Amino acid sequence: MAVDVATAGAGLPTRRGRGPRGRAGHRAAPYVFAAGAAVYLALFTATPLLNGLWLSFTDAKLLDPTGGEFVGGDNYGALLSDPRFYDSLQVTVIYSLATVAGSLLAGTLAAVALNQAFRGRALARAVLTFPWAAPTVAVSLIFVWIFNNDNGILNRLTAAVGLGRHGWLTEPGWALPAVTAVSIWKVFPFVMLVVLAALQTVPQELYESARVDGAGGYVVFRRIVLPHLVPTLRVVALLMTIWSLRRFEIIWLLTQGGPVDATNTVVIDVYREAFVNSDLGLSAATGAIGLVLSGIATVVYFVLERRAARKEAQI
Amino acid sequence: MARRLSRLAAATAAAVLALAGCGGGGSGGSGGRPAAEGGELVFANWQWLEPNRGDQIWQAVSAYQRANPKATLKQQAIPRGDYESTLKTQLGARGGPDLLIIPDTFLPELGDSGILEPLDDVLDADRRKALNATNKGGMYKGKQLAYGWEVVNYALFWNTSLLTQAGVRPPTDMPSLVAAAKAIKDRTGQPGFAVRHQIREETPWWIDFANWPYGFGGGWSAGGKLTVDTPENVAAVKAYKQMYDSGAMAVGDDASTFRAKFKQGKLGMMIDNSSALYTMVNGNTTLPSTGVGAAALPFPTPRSSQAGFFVGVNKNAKNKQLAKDWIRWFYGADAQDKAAAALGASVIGTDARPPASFVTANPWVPVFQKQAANSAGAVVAGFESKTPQIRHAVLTEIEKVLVSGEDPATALKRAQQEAEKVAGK
Repeated sequence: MAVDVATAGAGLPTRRGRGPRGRAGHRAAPYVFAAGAAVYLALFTATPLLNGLWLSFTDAKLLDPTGGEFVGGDNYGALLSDPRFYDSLQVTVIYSLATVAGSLLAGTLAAVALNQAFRGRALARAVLTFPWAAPTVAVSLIFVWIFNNDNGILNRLTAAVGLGRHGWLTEPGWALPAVTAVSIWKVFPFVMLVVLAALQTVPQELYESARVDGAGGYVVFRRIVLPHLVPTLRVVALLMTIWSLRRFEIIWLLTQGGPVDATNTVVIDVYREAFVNSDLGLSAATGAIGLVLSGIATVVYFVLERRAARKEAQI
Repeated sequence: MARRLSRLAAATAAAVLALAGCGGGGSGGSGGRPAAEGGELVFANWQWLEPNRGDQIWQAVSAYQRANPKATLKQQAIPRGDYESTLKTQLGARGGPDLLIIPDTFLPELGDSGILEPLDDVLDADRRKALNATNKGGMYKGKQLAYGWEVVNYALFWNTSLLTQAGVRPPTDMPSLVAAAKAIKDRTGQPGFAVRHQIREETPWWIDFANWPYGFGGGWSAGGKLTVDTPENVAAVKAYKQMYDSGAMAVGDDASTFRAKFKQGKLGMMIDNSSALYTMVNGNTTLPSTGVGAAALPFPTPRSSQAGFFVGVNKNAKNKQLAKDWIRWFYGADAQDKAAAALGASVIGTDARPPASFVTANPWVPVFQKQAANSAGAVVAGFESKTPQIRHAVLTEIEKVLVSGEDPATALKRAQQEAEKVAGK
């Protein structure tokens, strides 16, 4: 049945025809809709956040979290004068960059592959989504066994092909790559699913006309697919960066920040100070610096997005 | 611009989720209800999770329900690795169990925070008379905050079958320990030796590792000063490194892994405590208790580490009077006999001993019991409340010796400086 576009909206209130009450209601609508989320955020995010920031200026202990006294910037001073903190920052940045880059690359490649038509595609999609769906604790414990020096399957494989045995989680040179590899394996399906969804929005005609013009696979990807993916990849990169900066379980379960602090990220320090050393004040100060890191990642994202928008406007 | 700002604010709000907040508060119960009225007692202990032995201990402690039928006992089982952090979170929020097992390394922190109910007046004169010296460890700053639960001692023990297959005799010193481990590895294909050695098991590693400096005549403090970098400790770390580098040690295995291997008969020798050994061999048909040999540590002096555990009452317990009544009951002769039988090779808070049949079935028990005279806890004397920070500083440097080949003397010198810094002295 054909629809008369000109009359399809008849009966709906129009901006011009709305009375004063309608206009007030219209103005209030966004606030009403946002109120629930705002109250939730105020209660469960802003309040703990502010409490955490306050704690960072106190000497509160885990066994007496409300009994801390104000110590000014002592916790920040102690933190910033401790060389190990800078080591943790360095490990955090390296781990996050490597995890984001690795998961973006693996996720995008997997998405492009799964966007092709082939037999068993549905099964392949399910299998590749598995790491994201699997419980992190179980996965981490399995990887502890995979990396085991004596009985781990990885060392059996490397020994069989003449690459020798390595202390994947016990040698400082191998631990960070091993933890990063597990993290990438765990999170790349998220990138894959998002990119796959974005790929399916690329108009088919663009592929067809490019092929008619004689473009090969690489050129099609570079000139047609990638420009469509860039905005999606930017958002995913922001999310992955924030998640990587605050990732805890995988690192804690595999190495607890060792060996020799080789995998000791800022979040591990936050946990250790709070729950091992019971120093909530120092832990909260470490967390506040972690927050600054997340903030920097967010600002970088917006600067890049602004530049891209400006470029697009010029075109 | 405004739109951009609002988007920036929205994204920043997402980013702030990275920072977790902490809350606290809530008042504890008065615990004023008389014990005769009964109620529920929540009892925290990681040992509830130990196969077989956990059930035996539970049977011993929950026999209280026969003495006080209105009382019910409920387990709070927390894995050993998360025990202190879980309890600290609960106790800090003025909640937590009524009764709790307290490792000696945890007691100073709980004592300083005033979270434990003083128990000086709980036991009558007869019961106090029956207490042995282990209960001194439950005193903190002049108050009896807890009573002795068990002290577990350390020894070297081995799978006799694997030693026979390898054609080696039980080692008596460091060179023979390394040689025996290598022989087992070479001739049976199984790791020759295992001991904790990773920072990811920091708390128990500290207690286990203390065997080496103690056995070499060293220690962590003396006369109110830290003694991390003494020549004795350096010698101990060198010996430890020699074992680590032998190629015969189960490097990378955490305790649950190498204990599983020993249990399956796939590991030659270990330095571990009596509680761990009993859990591994109890009801084990692959490696029965009689298939295990034990001896004092093969170090220059007879000294060794010990893990001391105490039982205390949460000051904010819901049923504090009932919890105290349980303590009163537990240190009676009958309950102590049952506890001694359940805890096996450990030294408990009174001189009650496991039955003779237990020692016959587990011939290695006397070795551990004899070690009690020469063992000491891993809390740094004079620096009790700073032990966690000192522990981290020292073990981080020892890990550098193991995995990065740092010189032991240099590493311990750095550890001494760092420990002094964190201890504020």
